Amino acid sequence: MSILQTERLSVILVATLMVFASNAPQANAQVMMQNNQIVIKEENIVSWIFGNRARSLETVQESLNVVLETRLDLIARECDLTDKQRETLILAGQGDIHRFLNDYHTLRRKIPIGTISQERYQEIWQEIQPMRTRFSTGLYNHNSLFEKNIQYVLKNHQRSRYDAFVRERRHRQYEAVVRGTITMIENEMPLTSSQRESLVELLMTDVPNANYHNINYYHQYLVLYQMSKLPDEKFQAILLENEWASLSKLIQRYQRYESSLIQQGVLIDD
Amino acid sequence: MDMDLTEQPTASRHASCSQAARLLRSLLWAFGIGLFTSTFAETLQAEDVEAVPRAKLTRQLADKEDIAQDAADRVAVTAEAEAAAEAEAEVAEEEHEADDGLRVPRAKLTRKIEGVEKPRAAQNRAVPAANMVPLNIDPLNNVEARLKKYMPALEQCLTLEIHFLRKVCNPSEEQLKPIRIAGKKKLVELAQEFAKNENGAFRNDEKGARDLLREEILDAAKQVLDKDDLELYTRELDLRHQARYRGIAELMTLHSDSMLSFDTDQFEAVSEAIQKKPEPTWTRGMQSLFYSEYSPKPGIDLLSPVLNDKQKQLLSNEPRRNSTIWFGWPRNIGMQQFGSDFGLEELPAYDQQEEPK
Repeated sequence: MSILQTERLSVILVATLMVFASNAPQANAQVMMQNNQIVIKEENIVSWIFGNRARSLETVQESLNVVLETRLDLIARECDLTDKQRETLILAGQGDIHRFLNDYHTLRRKIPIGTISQERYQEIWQEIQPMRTRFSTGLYNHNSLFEKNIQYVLKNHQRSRYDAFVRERRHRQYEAVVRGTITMIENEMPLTSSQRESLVELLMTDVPNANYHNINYYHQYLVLYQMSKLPDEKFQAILLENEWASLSKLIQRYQRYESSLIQQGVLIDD
Repeated sequence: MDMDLTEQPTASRHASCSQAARLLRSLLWAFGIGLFTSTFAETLQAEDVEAVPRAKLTRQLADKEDIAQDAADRVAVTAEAEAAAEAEAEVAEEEHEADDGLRVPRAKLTRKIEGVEKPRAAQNRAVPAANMVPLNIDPLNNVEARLKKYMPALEQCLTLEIHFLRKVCNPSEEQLKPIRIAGKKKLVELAQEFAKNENGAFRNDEKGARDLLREEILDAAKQVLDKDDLELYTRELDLRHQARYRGIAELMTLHSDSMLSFDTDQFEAVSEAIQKKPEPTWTRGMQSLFYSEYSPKPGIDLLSPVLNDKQKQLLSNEPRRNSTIWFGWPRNIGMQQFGSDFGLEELPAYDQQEEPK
């Protein structure tokens, strides 16, 4: 199990236990833990994979179709898609949805409904977790039918517009992650406005590994990993001596995260 | 050659016998050890109670009085529960006054808390769980130890705030002294607040412990800093506050974007809309902001002006999550954000003042 998976699993387990404990009116909370036994219902499995938004598999399917249409609308605006191109991309996107739902049903058949032991629950969770991550990271990653078909259906002038659009969008998303991560760092190392903006600028301009793709997940690790690859002097020019001493200890830990980030589809391996 | 398949080979039989013998021996050992441990523990406990010095016991009883008082402040206390808390306080006070170093029997104490007027038969009846009040009356429950648990992390918060103040306007040692004293005083107050709940949950209102500490430092700074320095410090605090909510809003926008596919203008507009209506609870347990399924989510009312119909439809199916997941008290005050403390220490001297952009 990779570092990211271990960290993430622990967070998810803690969070799941929190939800159990809080008796929140959510599907997850309907799992009952009595005498080391867990009662699993159909809706629990749906919510484990698709999140709390999922009331049933039908609503999930409906939502996935609207997500696909919304995504297509955005690309259509940027690249002036023809009806035929749009049709092809809808089919490709629906192919991704079907592929995911087929995998879901395969997994679903392995999970018993009713009372199971905690140990069995842990085993099941090990299988649920990758599916859950796959769904949360989005169905249209660089390996999806949708993304592969875009490269195929777009004409040259559209492709260059699409590439520019993707670059801009990725840059904006990355900035969000950089600012979010700095906010977390500031909890333990408050920065002045001048230091903050310099750090944002540094992280946005000097990106050691620009082959990041999916930054909907594990994004703080991506930023910390990028920071670990930057020369010390760049930080020393922004931070005070004691601040750099603390920060350097933190980011050193993320130097070895590359393989985990590649494994999770955040970084693309050359 | 015929062979009785039901009969075990000799070696195997021997192995079974020796296994059984081993099992029996282990059970006897376990029983013996259990008996010894429980007897030893009881002896220790008895000795422990007697061995507590009078002064320490008096302090513990005084602590109990505080806890009883704290119980009255707890949230959602019913009238019945309030009465019980008062009774608890009264009992603790009586004990304190008596100062005889002896414990009031728990049964007697429970009777008093449940209502002295009740007949004994009624006292013996089970009390519904909803009417029960946490007593916190064990004299061995050391409040001092519980306070000590919170102090190191809170002291680190003070160090960070003083570091920030010194970095921004580099006050003199004379100016810093009353600020440090005010901060340390506040820490004790905050630790007491944390110690009220066993898991260290802080009251869940507008201001968290860090906000209260910052306010205390600012108040003290107002008394001693020059006008220019104070202005600089206040401005930097405001910018830091804004940056924090911007970071949070950006992450929340990112999560919404994965489902709603914003264009660049929408991304900016959504982030700004979230920043305009910040919720103080978002700043606690910030780890959840990195996980789309646990992150707080903006409501449709907030984002509606920015979204198209399909996006609105998707968002309306999304349950609004305003609270954050509880990751433990240190993370709620912004410590151990990445697993362990940064351990930032103050510099001996802050020679250069920072100029904000």
